[in-house]
Amino acid sequence: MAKTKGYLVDTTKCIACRGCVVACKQWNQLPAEQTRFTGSYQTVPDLTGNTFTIISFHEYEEDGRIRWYFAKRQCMHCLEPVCMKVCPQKAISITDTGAVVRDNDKCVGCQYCAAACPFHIPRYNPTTDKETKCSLCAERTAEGDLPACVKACITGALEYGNRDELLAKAKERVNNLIGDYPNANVYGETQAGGTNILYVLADVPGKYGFEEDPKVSTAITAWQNVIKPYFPWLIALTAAGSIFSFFSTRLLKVGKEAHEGESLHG
Amino acid sequence: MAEEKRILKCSTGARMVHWSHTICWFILLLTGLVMFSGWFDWLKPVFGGTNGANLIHRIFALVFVAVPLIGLVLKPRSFIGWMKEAAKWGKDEIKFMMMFPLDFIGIKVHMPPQDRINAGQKFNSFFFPIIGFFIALSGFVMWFAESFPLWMVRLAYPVHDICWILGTAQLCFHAYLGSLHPGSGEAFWAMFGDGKVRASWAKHHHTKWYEQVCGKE
Ligand code: SF4
Ligand code: SF4
Ligand code: SF4
Repeated sequence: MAKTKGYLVDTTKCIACRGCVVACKQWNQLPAEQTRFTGSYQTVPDLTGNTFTIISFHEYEEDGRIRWYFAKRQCMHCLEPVCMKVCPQKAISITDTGAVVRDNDKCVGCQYCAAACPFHIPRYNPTTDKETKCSLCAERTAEGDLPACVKACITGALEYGNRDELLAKAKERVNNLIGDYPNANVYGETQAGGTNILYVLADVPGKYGFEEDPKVSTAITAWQNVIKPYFPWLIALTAAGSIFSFFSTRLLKVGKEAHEGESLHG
Repeated sequence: MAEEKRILKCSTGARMVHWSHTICWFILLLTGLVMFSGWFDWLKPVFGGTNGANLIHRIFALVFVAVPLIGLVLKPRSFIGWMKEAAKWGKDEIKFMMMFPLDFIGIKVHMPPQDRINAGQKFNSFFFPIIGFFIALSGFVMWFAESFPLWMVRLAYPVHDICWILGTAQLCFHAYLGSLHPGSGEAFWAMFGDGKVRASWAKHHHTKWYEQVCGKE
């Protein structure tokens, strides 16, 4: 594939101000939602049909003190997006720069993309009866602007650019971190076939609520590669068989006594 | 032909369930196809767009499930009787199935005597309810996806699709064999008419049953 673009989330620079969350809401004109205090500082509990990105908070006690791991969550903009492959309406496509975008007019809200996504990202919006997710602000970047969340980020934890350059940067950053954070790693290079959103994590992905190695479910690949393309032909086959029988039974019985003294339509 | 004796093959209850399921199946099939593939976009306006198709699909899904349940509650004995009939398999049934392909293409064969429902109909008596059960179950999981674990939702899609495809494929055979296949006209009008068939037809196509009802000659 040609050069794709995405952004790097350097979680070691994120202070969880949630400016990106607000910027995303504002740019996409998404209504605010009531939330309840559940004992965590994470104010927005999960992605919803009206929330395309959140900062997830993960608290651990280490060496007698509380440690926080923050991770921005949104669509990962996979290099080989499963959501796009399964969408029966072909509502999801990849832009020239690699953003995975959804066409609202084509989407029928079947929610299959949500079930197929290895990162469990797309969310259903019952009011519009559509599935929703981050678009990597494709309309903005097409005009040379930064994604709204990247633009809003005050610490430089978010950086937009060419994937290969960001990947090199991320690796360099991990090299610098590894002395203090032996588990530091780059997330998104290989996961689910590689994603355009890359992360620098200071510790194992599990600590950030990420799956180590998210896989596309076999139920999905079976549907995708075998059932959907080939199974419907069975119907054509039995229909053709019936038409064949309609004629062959009549041809073979011409002039003969059909069904022992009965009329043909007996 | 003089007025001939006619005997009851399909009870009113059976005919009503069969009828309403026929209608449900086609409506569910068409509204489902709108969601299954972009090939059927031209169907969208018929159902008032995808939202309309979605809604109709769900309403008829409920009817699809309700109809046999109502039948089961009102007439549990005839349901059990039907299942018992369908479960009775012997040499005659196996022979019927083996010779059936020849009859299907029009080669004259002498079929072994059959019960009220022949071996093929016995097969369908299990095939369609099982298919219907899994369609309903997987559909339920897809409808309330948020309340089920992800692996179940992921599995529900292939199950739903395999079942409706197998069901519709078999339905092509079933619809043809039950109507336009030589010798089937009588059974067709039994299912879609008053439930009765001519005694002489029954004697020829469902000999064992005829002998039970009318006695051996
Ligand atoms: S993260 Fe999920 S929704 Fe986003 S591109 Fe990948 S498969 Fe699609
Ligand atoms: S919910 Fe919309 S985008 Fe997702 S698979 Fe269905 S039609 Fe496609
Ligand atoms: S790229 Fe745009 S849509 Fe995606 S999280 Fe950032 S602001 Fe929201």
